[in-house]
Amino acid sequence: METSSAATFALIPLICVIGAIAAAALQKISHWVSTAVVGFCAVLGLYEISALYPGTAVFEWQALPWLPAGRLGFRVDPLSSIMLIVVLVIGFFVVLFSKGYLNAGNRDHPTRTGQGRYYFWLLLFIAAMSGVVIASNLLQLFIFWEITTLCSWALISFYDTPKSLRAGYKALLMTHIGGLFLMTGIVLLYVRTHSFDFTALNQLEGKPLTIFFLLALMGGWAKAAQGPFYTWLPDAMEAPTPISAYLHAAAMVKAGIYLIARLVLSCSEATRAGLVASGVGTVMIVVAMATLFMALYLFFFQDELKKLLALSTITHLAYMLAGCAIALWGSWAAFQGAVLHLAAHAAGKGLLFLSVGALAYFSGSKRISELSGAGSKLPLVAVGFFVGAFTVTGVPPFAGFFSKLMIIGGAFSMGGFGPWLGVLLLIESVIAFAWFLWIGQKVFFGKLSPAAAAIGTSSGSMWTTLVALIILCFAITLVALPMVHQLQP
Amino acid sequence: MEVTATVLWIMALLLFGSVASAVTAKRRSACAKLSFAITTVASVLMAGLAAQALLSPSGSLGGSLFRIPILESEAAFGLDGLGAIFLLIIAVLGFVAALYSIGYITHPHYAGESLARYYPFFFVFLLGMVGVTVAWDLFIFLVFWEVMTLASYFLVIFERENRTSLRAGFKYFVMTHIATACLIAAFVILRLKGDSFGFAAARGALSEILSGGGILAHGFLLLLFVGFATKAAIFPLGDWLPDAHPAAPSPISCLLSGVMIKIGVYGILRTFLWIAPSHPMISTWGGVIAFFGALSLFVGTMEALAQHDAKRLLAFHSMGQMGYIFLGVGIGLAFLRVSPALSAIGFIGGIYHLVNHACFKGLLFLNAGSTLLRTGTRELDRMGGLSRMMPLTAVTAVIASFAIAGIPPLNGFGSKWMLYQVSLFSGLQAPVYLLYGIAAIFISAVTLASFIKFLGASYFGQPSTNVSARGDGICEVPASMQAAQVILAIACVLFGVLPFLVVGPIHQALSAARPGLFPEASLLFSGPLAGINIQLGEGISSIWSPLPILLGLIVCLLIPFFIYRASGASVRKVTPWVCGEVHRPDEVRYQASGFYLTFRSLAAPVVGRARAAGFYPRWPSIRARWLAPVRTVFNFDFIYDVIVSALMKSIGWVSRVHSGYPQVYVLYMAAGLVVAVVLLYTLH
Repeated sequence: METSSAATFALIPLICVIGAIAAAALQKISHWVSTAVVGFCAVLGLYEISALYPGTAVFEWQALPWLPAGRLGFRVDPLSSIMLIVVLVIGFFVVLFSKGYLNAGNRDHPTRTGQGRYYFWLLLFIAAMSGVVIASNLLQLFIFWEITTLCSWALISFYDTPKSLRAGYKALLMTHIGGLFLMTGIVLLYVRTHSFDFTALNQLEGKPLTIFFLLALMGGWAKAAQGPFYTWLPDAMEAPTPISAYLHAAAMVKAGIYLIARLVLSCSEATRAGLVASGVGTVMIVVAMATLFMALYLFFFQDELKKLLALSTITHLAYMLAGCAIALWGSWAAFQGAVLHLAAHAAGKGLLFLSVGALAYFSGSKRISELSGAGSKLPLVAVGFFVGAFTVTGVPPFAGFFSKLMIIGGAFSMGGFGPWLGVLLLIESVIAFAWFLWIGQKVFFGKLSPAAAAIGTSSGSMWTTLVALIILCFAITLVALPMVHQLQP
Repeated sequence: MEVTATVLWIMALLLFGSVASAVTAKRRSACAKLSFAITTVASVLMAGLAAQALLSPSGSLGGSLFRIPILESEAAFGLDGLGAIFLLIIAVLGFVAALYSIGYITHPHYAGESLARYYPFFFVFLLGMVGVTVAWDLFIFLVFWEVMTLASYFLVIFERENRTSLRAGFKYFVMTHIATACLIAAFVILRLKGDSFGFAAARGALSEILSGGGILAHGFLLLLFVGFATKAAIFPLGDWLPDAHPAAPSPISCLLSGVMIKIGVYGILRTFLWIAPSHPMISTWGGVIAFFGALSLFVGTMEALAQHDAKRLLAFHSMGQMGYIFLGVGIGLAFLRVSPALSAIGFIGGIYHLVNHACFKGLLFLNAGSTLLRTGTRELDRMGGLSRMMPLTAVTAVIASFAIAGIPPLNGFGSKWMLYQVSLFSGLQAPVYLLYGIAAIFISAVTLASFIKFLGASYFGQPSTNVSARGDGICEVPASMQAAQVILAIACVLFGVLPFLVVGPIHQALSAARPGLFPEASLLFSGPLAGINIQLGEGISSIWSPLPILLGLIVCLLIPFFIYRASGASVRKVTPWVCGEVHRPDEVRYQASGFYLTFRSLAAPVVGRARAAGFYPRWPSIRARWLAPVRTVFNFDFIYDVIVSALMKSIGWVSRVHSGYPQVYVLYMAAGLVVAVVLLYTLH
């Protein structure tokens, strides 16, 4: 374990906060400041991770003398590293994309002012999100967790329309209620064990363990829009598309997954057995599968592309949670698959959102029924959409195939009802694939619709991001697969 | 040549071709020629590799490239005789398709479509197929399997503004993706049993599953069967094929029908024959495969009889001919344990027919492409009399049609003859195969009938108004396209006249797949004149010698010709007499839609107001109106709404305290003071 390098990881949120303030202050050039800051952080983060891999860096210091267990600190292991790569790399490309998207030329949402505010919250979010992933204990994680909720509220409401204000409020309230559950869980943990450490949950057993885990799950579900909490996510599509791509597909909703994955990873074998025995594992799987098929069902009635993508995000988060749950049974491949899927989905769904964003930018419409034949006007966007769709639905050679295969393989090997679970996951995968293919064909092929015909030839700084993410949809496997392999109990 | 290195070179070359063709797509002619050159080099490498594997006694095995430990994959490439046969087909047909594409895809007919959506996918399609045949690991197999589907999907929807193409492509991709999901499930199960995706581990795993027996083992084999039979377009799983083949550009139809659907057969052979041990369950599934083969050959070909879209007709024949192949392979599997000799002839007949089908069906699709370019239509009704304007295409089409219909001495006859033999002989042991054999023989006649229509309506007879209107626009296709057709036509003749060219390597590949099981070639095939002489134990033998037959046929053709010449009879050419009525030219032609009307009405009987749709079922379209209302169940917003309304109410209550009048605030302050004073006193 290295101490010094963990402290350098702490620089990332710090620099981002400074960048956020600078962006708010320098309205005119906020984009350049943000690009530079996030770019620097991404390079720094990647460099640190490559230097650290496959080790674990821990840095702790007794910051709060009045709180007996109040050690603050940072901890970076392969799980954090994968999340950090997602947060920083996708974050960088989203900031890059925002320049081309957030301007007066946008046919869907012409934007002339407010860039400073936008980049302030975005950078603050990146800071908070990196804080979540490198936090060394639950208390710290929770604090950053709530900051991400706040950023999400501000960014969803960015356009200041009544609809977006309502959506932002809804997202804030629902994820915050989930956060309260999580907080209760953390307090319970502290009362019982006098520690905020992730591994402290191993000291719990019996009912307190069940209750703690369920409370944490409530927090994770609310953040990841699972079960009855899912309704905020489709509404949150009022946000500017880069925000939907980043917060509501690639990063923020993944905080919920990260929390659960972190807890599962911290479990000792006895704790996992306890969780399975008390039925928590079954609850996780049932909720995941119910959410999966519910969101899938809603696909068919969704005419707005972004909301369709949001529903798809819900299914994929359910996929990951199912993978985490399967890991409680000791089927570790599913856990590794879930974390790999987290990265693959971030690249694929980010790409899908940005493709739809570019489409809306040029055509002024996000409605499936209004768009047809757009592929001949925007070939790169069409490529982006299809690559993204194939990535998330798991068509080889794209990244999602590998992760889904691992989750399904894990399900098959868990025994009991595992094979049926695997079959259900496969069925969902095929249906989602078919629907995305259908929608892709409808929107990008066929005869030109009026909305698509109106697309002018315009250059954009969005192309770089699209190309980079298309490459990432292949390449992320190469990076994430070895890292995922390090995730052993 | 070292397998792994060569395979990697081929793949790198194909990837390079994909990128290079995308970059040069704007300059259509240059792009097509460059792509042809790259394909040629790749094909030569493939053919060399395949030849090496076929010639070496044990088949040449590759090594592991790199391990993917987390996936338990060896990432290994290897090639044995079985794979080499398919690799060779890919090499030849890939070359032919690229050659044909030079003239075809640059034709003004496709002027509106960018080549950047053709050649890059063409190369990736080849890459996928090569990868499947050289994969030595189930995981790698799966990846390339789906890459192949992905690329071919984009080729099927090449004409992307055409709704029919889009629907066909969608159906194709979704159906085959479901099949892939079955394969994923099956392979994952194998990996769990064997701890690795490698073929070697899969062997042990599969025998473990089979020895476990019961419904689970059957379920597992069903997954494999569905996965491969869907790709092989076996009825009813191959319902995608009649839509997808016509939609694709003709060189792609040639590859789809000539190569890709065969990869399904490769999968069956690789798993059921090569990986699986001899087990009664495998024999049972051999029976199932043979049944579906017989069903497919019957339904597919019967439906083809009613078609008058040239490529759709051919597509249904693909379904039918794949049925023949499945019949042979199925019988081979069914008799694997009981009678290796019978089994060997089943396999050889099936694979021989597979090779032949690649030649003649590939050629037929190219013919259909040539006529499509010149007449602008796929409708047989709007062609006619093309043999005068496109003689070479007509000759190759006749060869291919006769080959598929099984006219001796062409290749189709040789393989069909073996399949008849094996079904009749196996019928001695299980009568149901006799039924299949009779069906196969009958269907061969139906095939001939169908192709008489195909030839008669397009190449012979009077030209249609469409053809007459185009006048001089209809001429022979460019030399490159002619060459492509001629190559395949030569193969059709050659493999028919010299069957040992194909049968020998197939036998060798089979022997390598199951060492020591199948009888030696000398015991199985013996006899004079380079023919096939099947020896099945004592007293059972049959002989097929193409060369004497060919000689006889030539003599029989020459005699009437000389009689005709010697007689010197005059030939009178007149227009048909139509009782003096005024008519449009198309009304007095034999049209494709006019063929076999009686049959078609028999196949589609009218009962009251209902009308049966013929042999081929039309799937009903599902419209469930109850689906939409159900979604309101999933609206969990009511929980949120309750919370929000409670919150709003309490906020309203709090906000009423703030009246905004200074007097009221002063009152609050005074009241607060009183409360504070009282508290302070009581606390002391």
